[in-house]
Amino acid sequence: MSVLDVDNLRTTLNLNGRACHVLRDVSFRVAEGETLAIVGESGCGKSMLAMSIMGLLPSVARITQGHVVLDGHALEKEPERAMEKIRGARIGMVFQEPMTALNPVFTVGAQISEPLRDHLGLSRRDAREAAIELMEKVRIPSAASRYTSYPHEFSGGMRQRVVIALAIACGPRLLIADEPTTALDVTVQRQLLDLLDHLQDEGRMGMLLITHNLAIVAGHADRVVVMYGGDVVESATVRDLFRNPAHPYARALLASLPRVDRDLSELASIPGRVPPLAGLPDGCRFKDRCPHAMDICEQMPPPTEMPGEAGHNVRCWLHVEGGEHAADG
Amino acid sequence: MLRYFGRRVLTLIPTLFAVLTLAFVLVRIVPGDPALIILGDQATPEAIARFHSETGLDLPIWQQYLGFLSELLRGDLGVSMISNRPVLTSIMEVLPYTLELSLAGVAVGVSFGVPLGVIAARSNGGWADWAVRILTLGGLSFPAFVSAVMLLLVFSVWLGWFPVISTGKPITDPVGRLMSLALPAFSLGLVMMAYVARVTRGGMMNVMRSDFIRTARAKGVPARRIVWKHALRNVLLGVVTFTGLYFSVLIGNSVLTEIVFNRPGLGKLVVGALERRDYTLLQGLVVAYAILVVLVNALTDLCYGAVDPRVKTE
Repeated sequence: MSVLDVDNLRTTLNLNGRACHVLRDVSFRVAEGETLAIVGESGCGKSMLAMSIMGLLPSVARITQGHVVLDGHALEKEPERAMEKIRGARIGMVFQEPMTALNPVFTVGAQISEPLRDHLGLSRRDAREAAIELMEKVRIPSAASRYTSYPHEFSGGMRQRVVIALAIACGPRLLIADEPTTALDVTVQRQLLDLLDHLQDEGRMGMLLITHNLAIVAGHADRVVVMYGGDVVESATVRDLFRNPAHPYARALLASLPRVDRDLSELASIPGRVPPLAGLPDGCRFKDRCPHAMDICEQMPPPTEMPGEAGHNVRCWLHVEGGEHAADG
Repeated sequence: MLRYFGRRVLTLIPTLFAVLTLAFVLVRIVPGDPALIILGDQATPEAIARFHSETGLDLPIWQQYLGFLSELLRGDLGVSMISNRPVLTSIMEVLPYTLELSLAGVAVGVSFGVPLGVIAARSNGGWADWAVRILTLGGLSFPAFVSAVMLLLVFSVWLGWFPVISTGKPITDPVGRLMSLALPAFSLGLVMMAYVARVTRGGMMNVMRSDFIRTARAKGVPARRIVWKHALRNVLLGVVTFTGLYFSVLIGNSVLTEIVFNRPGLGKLVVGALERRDYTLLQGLVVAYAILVVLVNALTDLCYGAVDPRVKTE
């Protein structure tokens, strides 16, 4: 059974009266104990997706179509009060920037205990004990004595451990990790990702790992969703994607990865840049940077097709039977 | 914490020293011989010489300065040139009134300003925001003496809720004392309230955009607690700084308030000393104000260490 089921989700941003769909018909599932990576460049809608799931969209954005289903329960129409009881309890979230993610004026202990008291109804004393256990679980050394420390007394990596402790405090079903290690040293990145893997196995959580780093995807995810300009352009198992990328964008992303068996001069970069939110095109959103762009790409968004193995979806006119002529008919 | 405070107090000494020197110099560079003002134009040269030697004005300026400092160190501010009462006694008599007025003014400014600022920030562009903006604009653009007179007119003369003249009530009559404090404190705190509301609103708008507020929302903290606890605690750092800075302005404004409401206090003493050219009393008052401001600054630093854990107190 899937923990998270995002179905045909559309999130619309209201920019001075103009509606732009920053997420367009996004669908995917995360099963129990599975890690689904969401990859793409900055500005392709990854964080907007996380915020749509959490119900934390900015006031100018809202979900205009589709469903976010957590454990069989639709969230998109839940009122804010109900979402307060779900966030932190059944969905945990880890953010990109550990240096600013914690409140500077409260002790880390108080910040970890807060959801325990809110969601699990623990007493102050029990929450303190549970918080120290959590700090030990995320391997913060001498946890008991650091309970009363303030965030500024921690390094970036340690702060991110605190954020992780917070996110898993109430034993959530789903963990959303939005670029959890991007701001950290490479050695610390590795430790934290291993920690996340370990915690996930232990709690049978589903994990949504949002990243732009394909190396992280290869090492830590089960399946991948490639996003571009608010569209899911390809989704596949990690193995399928790395072996047979189908979408031109996914191919270009993989070609831009350095590999030991290839000369560095062959490293490809993708020409052009991600379209700005206000100028998202109507048809395929990658068409301006795509070497295979056709007339049809201009006119309508491609449908989702399954070219190869089961579970490998791609959204590109190249993979639609007779797609070149669809515009005529 | 104690060492932190001790260090702060030590750094006050040079400041205090400079201010005291300034007070000494200021009183002496005012043109005109105090002897002539006090004894009158018709005074004989003998009388003037006698006055000079009695008050020490015939000594070289450096001796006067040393004498001033050594007396100050012994807690002696001299005697009034007019009434011959010790200056320190006159000051200590009315100091409690000025202190209670200033503190009450700050209390009004903060306890009304902070919630108004938070409400304005939360409504951001809504009707509550506009109401607070208009209210604070009003608070800022009315001179204190105008608002004081209006308050007197409405609440004392028309409604009769508060006494018109708040002459010093003894501490044994706490209700009377509070009633006579209410209007002056409100009048004095009004402008501060407006500033504090603006500082709070601005701070709140900034803090609500921070990452840690997003973290708090992501862990399911109820909206109300996010605003009044998680965000406000951070905004208060700015409010404390502002309050400390503004306190000296407020003490200055209290002079006017004391006169409009006819309250005893340092302000009335200052005006009397100025009118009668009582230089020793004036000098003593400048010293008293200087010590007050410097102490408030030290207190602000102390508060800052208490609200912001990042301030090194060890």
